[in-house]
Amino acid sequence: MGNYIFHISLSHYLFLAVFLFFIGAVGTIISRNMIKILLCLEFMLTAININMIAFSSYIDNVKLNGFVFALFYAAIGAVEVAIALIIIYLMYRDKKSIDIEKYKELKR
Amino acid sequence: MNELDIVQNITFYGFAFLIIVFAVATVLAKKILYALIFSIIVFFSAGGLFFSLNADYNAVVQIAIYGVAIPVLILFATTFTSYADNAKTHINYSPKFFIATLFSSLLFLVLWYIVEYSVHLNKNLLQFFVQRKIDNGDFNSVVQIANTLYVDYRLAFILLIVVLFITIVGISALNVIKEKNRG
Repeated sequence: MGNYIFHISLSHYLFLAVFLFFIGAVGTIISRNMIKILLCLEFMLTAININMIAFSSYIDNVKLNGFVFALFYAAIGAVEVAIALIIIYLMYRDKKSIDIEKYKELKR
Repeated sequence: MNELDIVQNITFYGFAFLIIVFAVATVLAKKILYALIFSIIVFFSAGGLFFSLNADYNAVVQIAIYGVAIPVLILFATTFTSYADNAKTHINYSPKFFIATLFSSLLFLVLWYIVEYSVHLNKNLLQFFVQRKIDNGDFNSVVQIANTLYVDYRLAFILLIVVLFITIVGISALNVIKEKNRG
């Protein structure tokens, strides 16, 4: 057990990514502030990036496909934040609130 | 345990501790500005973790985009919102909160089980993972990434540029349409 804990392997990174993904998922569900939801989504993206880089570093260290995919993901994450922020801003101008509970009509 | 293992342990557990603690702090923070500062620490720590995995270029991208650019963007967005509204949107411990936590915990347990099962599925496979770790200092991941990116994934790279361009145009168009509707 001690050897497993103190000998860092791929599984350690996977467990860390699971933890971070869990925190991001919980934060996304329970937060009412739209900006905080956005931050929690970014945590989930970071967890996925950790997974891809860990896999690439431990398994595919010849072509580093995981590193490249992580770069694509970072770019897509930036796009997602930009679009989400402009949508939040447009919604805020209508109701003067970033409380997600006040936008329940989007469900209909 | 040799010196390299000790350094690797300290690096991994240090960054992992920072990531977990400050991610939880972000979710629980009452003020959105504090949440933003805590999230910056999480993104910087993730960048440090990438450095320890020899992904230098990814670490720089992580710190530059997630650690600096996106928080600045979100900081500007928070300045538009009112302080009173931010205070009102803190987590309320309603039944919905507990149901959400329960379902997220179930998802977490399933993911944990999958990772645990896959790790212990084949001990030889795990040994293979450990042995294949990059450990030579003269390995240049930036050159290798450039080769892979511009040769194998050149179409995906061009597509990404198009997506970024459409995003910029789309954001501008959204603002213009909204302004016209208001006028």
